[in-house]
Amino acid sequence: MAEVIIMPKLGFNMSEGKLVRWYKQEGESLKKGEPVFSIETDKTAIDIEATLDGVFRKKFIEEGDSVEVTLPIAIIGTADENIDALISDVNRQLNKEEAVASPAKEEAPVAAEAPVAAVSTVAAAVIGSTTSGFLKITPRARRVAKEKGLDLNGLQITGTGYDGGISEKDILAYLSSNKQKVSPVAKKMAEEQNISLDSLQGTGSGGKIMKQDVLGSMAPSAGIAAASAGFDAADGPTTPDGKVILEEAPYSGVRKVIGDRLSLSKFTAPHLYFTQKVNLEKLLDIRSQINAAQPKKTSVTDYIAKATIKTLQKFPEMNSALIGDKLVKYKYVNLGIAVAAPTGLIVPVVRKADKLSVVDISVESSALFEKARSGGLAPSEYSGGTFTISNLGMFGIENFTAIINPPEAGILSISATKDEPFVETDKDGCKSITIKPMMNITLSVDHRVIDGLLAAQFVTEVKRLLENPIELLI
Amino acid sequence: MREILYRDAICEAIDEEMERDDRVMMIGEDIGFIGGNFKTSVGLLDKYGDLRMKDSPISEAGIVGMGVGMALTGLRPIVELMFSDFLLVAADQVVNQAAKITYMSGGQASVPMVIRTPMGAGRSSAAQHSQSMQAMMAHFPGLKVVVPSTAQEAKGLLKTAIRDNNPVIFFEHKMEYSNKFMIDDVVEPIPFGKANIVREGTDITIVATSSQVMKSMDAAAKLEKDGISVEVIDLRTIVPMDRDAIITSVKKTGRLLVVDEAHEKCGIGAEIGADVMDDVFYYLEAPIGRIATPNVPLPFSPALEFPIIPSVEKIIVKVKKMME
Repeated sequence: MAEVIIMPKLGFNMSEGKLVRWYKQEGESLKKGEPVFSIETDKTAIDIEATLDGVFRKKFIEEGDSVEVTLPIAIIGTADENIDALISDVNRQLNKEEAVASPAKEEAPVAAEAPVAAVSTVAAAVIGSTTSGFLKITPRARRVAKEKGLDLNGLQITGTGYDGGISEKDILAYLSSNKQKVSPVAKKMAEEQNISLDSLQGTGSGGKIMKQDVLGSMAPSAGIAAASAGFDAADGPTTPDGKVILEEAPYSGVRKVIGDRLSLSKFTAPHLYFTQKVNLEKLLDIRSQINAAQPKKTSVTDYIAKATIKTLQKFPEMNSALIGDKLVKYKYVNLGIAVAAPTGLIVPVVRKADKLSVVDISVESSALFEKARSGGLAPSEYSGGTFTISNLGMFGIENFTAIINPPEAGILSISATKDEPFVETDKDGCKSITIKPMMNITLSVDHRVIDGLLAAQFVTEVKRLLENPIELLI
Repeated sequence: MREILYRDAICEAIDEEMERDDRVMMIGEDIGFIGGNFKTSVGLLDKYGDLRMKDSPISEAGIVGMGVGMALTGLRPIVELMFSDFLLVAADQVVNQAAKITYMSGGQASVPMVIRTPMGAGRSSAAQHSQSMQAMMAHFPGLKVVVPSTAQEAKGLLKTAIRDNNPVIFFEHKMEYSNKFMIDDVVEPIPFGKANIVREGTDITIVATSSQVMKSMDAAAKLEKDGISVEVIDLRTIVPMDRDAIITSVKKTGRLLVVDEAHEKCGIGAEIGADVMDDVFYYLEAPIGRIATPNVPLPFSPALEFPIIPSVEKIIVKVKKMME
């Protein structure tokens, strides 16, 4: 029976491999253990050995070609068997993969990761299923995979079950080696932030999901805390200036889109910042009444969104943009709310938010957040915003200044609500100190478009609305 | 606890039930004066007399027919057929009469009769005296079919059979009669339709009948040394069948092997496999396996006979294959 050889995946971040050399030519016989080809990853070159005896029948790529991991690259079989069907299968797979890969790549929020083959200097080639599309898996394993939310498509698990099929044990082993290694801190954080561990790629030892991975999925700016400078340079590859590299990842895809857009914003739009301290006592009280009165649990963000929308209606100059050589004021408020997605920061947009009530906003935005976290946002759901709010309050942040999401004119950064001493003046003019739940909000504006006075009025109006939340409901 | 021969456990069950209920009586070839071809009724003629321990002529159709008549008229007969192969001689009485009367009389009449009969190969009794008829009997509605394993099980299940108001076919394995077992001092009737998990395990479920329970237990002990954890279920009764016990176990282990001595074709393995499939499909790690006797007549020569019937070795090989 002919076997298809696929491009092996040799590390977490390996998405494609470059074939640097074929050791065998079509028609040559080979023995188990002999090197068949050599591939170059972003780190090193590796010889891949044959896992069976046979004849090298067909190659699908040439030396120098790069292909995505798990795609077929060659067929090994016996000298005289008919492999026409297999060849057409492979061709179909290669064409199909190419057809969908190019447009989908940039936008697909989450690419399904193929598994990791053991990393060693000489790795065995992963042998794919000979019948394209047929996955040999026991009914029990199929059920367990479904229960664990494991997508079987494109999965390369070596079956050790009945007749070489994938068994429950194989699925569980795959999950524990690839997904479920997680540090206790990371696990707790992910639970608190409602982040699915399946969506994270661990950067710790053996692919363990670490605190920084969870943080990285929440705040895109959190870089990888690589080995600090001054470490012994003898234990691995180093940066040009001699620091030891723990892990390298390509700057591409969503990561690059975020980076390009934000550097464009920060380097072209002169940012100006205005901070106000907001007393949330009344708002928290009203929120608990509203949450008790109807089924949808509203969050503080929903009220801030509503206050921002009302303020934008009052100051339409803030709902504007500098586009080319024109200052554009928008008719509707499309409010972007920044959220941490598995691949990085993403800003789902609540469209035509002008008329929405707090509860409406809550319903719409939580549906969008859910999609964002599962990587299922459509492009239309994260584009077209006219103003953005970014809330890091749930992480206890005291104060921060967000970068404007271009070409918008401003962004409102929401920090944590904390009990603080508060100076109260009673009607007799007597001052006393009490404890109030206080929250910092910081407005970043593009000074090319917005002047300080308007920005100050805007942020003060947001504060006023939040401190008089009844106005948000009428 | 005490040690007892399987045949004596059978005899005790009959004795205790005859003493308990004077409507219970026995009829069969050589059961009285000889004490039974396999010595399962020794001493009962002396104790209960000729009227309740009836030696009969060699006519299975006649014996079972008389049993049906006795049952219809208020007695609770135990009919002994010397070999279960002779169920076929009495087939009309068993299948067309005993099994149907409750149904055809609209429940006005019942046949509280037990047919006790030895099954199985291993004694060079050749093709006409070595068969296992349990699958065939289970095919017909109206009959309960019992396949006890140990002496304790045989005694408890026979008591239940005698007290049951339906015709019960009670298969005793002829290779067990002279084997010694430990038995409780007092054995209560064992309810029908309640399988017995005789060994707990996590990797594979073996459902076994009759002597195959003991063989499966031996195999399980050996497989444990290879790291394979086998759950063994003594099915006890084929009709009624304890589906729930099988399903629960297979959901746990993911594998099912049915070991039954009758011919494989249209046998107990096929029946159980198909019956539970709806419930266990998404729990299976391997196709359901069967060990049975191939579809050839049982040979007289021991050199040929033993290799074709189920054995501990065959169970071990099959389990390992299913665990691959």
